[in-house]
Amino acid sequence: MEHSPLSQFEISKLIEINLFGFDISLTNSSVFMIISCIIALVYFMVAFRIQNLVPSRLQASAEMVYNLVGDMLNQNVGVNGRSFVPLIFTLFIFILLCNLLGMIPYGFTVTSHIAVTFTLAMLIFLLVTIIGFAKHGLHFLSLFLPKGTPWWLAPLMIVIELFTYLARPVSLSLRLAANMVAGHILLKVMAGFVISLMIFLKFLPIPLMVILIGFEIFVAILQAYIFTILSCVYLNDAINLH
Amino acid sequence: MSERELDELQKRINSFKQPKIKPRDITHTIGAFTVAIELVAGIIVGLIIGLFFDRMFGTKPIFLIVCLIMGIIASLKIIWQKLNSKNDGT
Repeated sequence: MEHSPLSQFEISKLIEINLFGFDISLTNSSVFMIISCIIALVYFMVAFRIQNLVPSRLQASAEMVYNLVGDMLNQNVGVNGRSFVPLIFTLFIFILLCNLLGMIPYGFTVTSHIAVTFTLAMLIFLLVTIIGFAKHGLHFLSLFLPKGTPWWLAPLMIVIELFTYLARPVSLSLRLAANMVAGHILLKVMAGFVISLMIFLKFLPIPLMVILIGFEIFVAILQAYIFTILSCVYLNDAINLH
Repeated sequence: MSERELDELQKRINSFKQPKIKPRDITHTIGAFTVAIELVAGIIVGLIIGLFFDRMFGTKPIFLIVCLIMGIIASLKIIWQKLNSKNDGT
């Protein structure tokens, strides 16, 4: 079982901490979360330490990431979405760094656990619900009744719309976790085939593995982007209620 | 800077301030993976709500069945909407 493709997702306790009966041990998962936070903090602190009008390379790269998120909010939410840039930006950077840290050898993919992704999705879901009720009051409930519904179908439609609304955080978290798990398992299984394939195909499998790893990095970035843009779409539903 | 140039600049600033809302292309892309995840999500939600109501009222399988069917309909509706929005080209 040492080389099972699933052993990379195992959580191991590094330092056992027990606080008032709660198990808050330092696991490899939390270590990688802390590392991703530290990388993000150091990167943006160094990049924005000296702010020039003509940016240096480091500053330009950091501004590019910021503009990506800013444009995402502008296009999906509109002018009212500017105040959510800090939240969405933090979310994007955290997920992106967690995904990418899983790609380094002996790394641990934090986002492969539904416990982590569901927490992030639930944060967005609760925020969107609270913002919707705070901004529109009880009028926010009109989200659950599509326009032009005949009265005899209304009770059924309300229940179905409520279910689609509740399915959002589940599908949001499942999409990220399932993509990361599937990609990493595929990578490990394929890597296990490399040695035996080299008997027949000589050195061909190694460049193929490089291509596969490149594709996996692409998936890591894409999934972080999709998670963020879907949060923007949900925010749009709450802010610009039609 | 002359008056005309300032007007020009103001126009450009205004055009930057008003973002154009583009069609959401990436969120409405539909693939086999999306269909699978939406189906699973709907079923999970129906299952949890059904089990919760059953435990609350003590009516063992009734709410579970009803909510599970509702969840499946809801997930099919999401997939239907995504397929439609793709066919419109928006």
